[in-house]
Amino acid sequence: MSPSVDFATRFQRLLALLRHAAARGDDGIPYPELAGEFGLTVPQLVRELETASMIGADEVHYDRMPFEVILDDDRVSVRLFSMDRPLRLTPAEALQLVASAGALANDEDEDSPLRRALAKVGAVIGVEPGEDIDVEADPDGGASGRLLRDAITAGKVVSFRYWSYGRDEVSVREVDPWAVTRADAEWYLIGLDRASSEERRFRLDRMSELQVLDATAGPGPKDLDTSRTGLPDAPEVVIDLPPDARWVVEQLPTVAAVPGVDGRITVTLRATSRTWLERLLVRVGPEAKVVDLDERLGPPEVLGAAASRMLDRYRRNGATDRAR
Amino acid sequence: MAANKLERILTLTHILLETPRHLTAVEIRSRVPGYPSEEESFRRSFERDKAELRSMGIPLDVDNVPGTDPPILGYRIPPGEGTLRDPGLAPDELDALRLAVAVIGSGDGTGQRALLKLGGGVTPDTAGGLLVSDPAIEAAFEGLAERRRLSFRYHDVDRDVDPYRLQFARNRWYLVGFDHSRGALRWFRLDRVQGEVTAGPTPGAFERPEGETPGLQLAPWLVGGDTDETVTARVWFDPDIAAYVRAGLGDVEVVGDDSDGLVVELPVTNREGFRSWVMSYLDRAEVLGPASLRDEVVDWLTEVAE
Repeated sequence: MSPSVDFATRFQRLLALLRHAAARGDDGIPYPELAGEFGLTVPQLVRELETASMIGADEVHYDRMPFEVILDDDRVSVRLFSMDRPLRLTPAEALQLVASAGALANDEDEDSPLRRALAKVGAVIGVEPGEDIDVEADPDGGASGRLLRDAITAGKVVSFRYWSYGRDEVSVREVDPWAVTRADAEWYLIGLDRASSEERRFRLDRMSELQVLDATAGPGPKDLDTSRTGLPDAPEVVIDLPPDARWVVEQLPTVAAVPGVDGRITVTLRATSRTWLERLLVRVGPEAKVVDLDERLGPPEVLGAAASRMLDRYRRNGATDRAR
Repeated sequence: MAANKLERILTLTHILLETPRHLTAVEIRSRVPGYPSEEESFRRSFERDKAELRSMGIPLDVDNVPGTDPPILGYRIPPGEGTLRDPGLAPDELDALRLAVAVIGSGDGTGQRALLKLGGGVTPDTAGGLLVSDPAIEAAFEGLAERRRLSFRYHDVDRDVDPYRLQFARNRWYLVGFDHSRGALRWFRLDRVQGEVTAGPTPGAFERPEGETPGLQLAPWLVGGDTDETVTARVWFDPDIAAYVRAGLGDVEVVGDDSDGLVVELPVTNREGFRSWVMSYLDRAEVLGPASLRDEVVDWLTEVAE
């Protein structure tokens, strides 16, 4: 923590370090140890302690001072007469503690330090972790995320079987891994796809048979932009959606969404591929109408091709309950 | 300037905690060093300090000072309410919390302040930022912790909700609670709340029902699943994508998983959600049964293909 923290943090830090020092009794604590615990230099620490020693100095009655701070040559000792209990947590603070701990505690033993801490904090603020509040926050992309990070550190090429959802193709890829990054709720690998010699992004949950190869990977560009998502140049399609396809607007990034009559919505989307668009049309159903289509996405007449292909499958296998 | 403020707020907190009765503004000014002597500047400065105390979670009680006539307003921190029962965290427990806040927390200093209050030192500098937070989520949490009824607008309806459970999944916060305007248990995506979430004035306004609160359902074949009769669907998936499908399915019945493909059985309570989900796999998935569900899919595809 840098010394230029906001006021609330500085205030809580001073109270915390006073309590920390007071816990050592009259022997006190050496300056460097206390400073290190709170991320301060010794001069910064001394300045904060001097401020604290002023509190209540104007009081007529000495015993009304909240604490006594004795600054020796090499150590400080503190006696607390007041503020010896932690100040109440704000809802935002309590939430951060319980949720952060809860996210990691899921995978831990019953009496791990984190589980014990979570139970104690929960009891003080009145929530039951895991029951009242439940957090699933994959903090590192799981086993694949960790393996890929190791490969990046070691500068090794990785290979995996990948399901390209947009094109609906499964193939084995060899990639020079550059970065593992999270966007919205998903984890991605960014790297150089060896087959196409282009920068690509791969969703970790669509990889399988991930391996680190012996081949040495080239480094990524210095100015790699890990935040970029979506495809700014992808062709656009305009679709007139029925009311029950509102989820499209809520779940997909849209260029524009204009309300129409009877709850219909005219939405402009960027389509990553023709297959992507055909899939969307199969999902939204017959009530949706393609209004305008970038010619790069192919002819508009046969957009039902995916539905026909699927229908062929059902017809081939018979129209009744199929046991296997 | 900053040092003065630190000294001033510390002294203010101290005298408001220790006072046996409400203190008037005049008394506060005389006991806290650093306030301007001019009346109007003092008022402004004192108002800012009160706001600072409240934002740090220190409650202020305002009431008439006993024995004053005409009555004069006085201030104090209500005994016992300004402080927390010390949870008594052991050093290894504090370290574990510190790490969790650093890895998961919002990264905006809130978790750090919480740790300082509990006696922990500083957290290591990390990216953090996984748990986004905002006032709606914090108000929902306050309602949950103190059993206060929440009011907010959702899907254009004003709701009164007893919060039972907060859940973070797929990078979003959800609230599960009893919706009095609907007379039923409902879940809400907190990022879709229109306007503010307010926690009611009364703590302990409701009892959470005995037993486990049903968890949030995100599976598309179950979401909002109180409309359709439950049917067990049997679905086949292409062996090429079986690994990815299984990873995303959670706890479902796997009937077969071999070179012929993956076959699973799912309880479907929302046919529309189920259909949309199966369709997203294109011809790499097929509804095998029951016949009624399979026929629905065939009819749907026939219409789309035309």
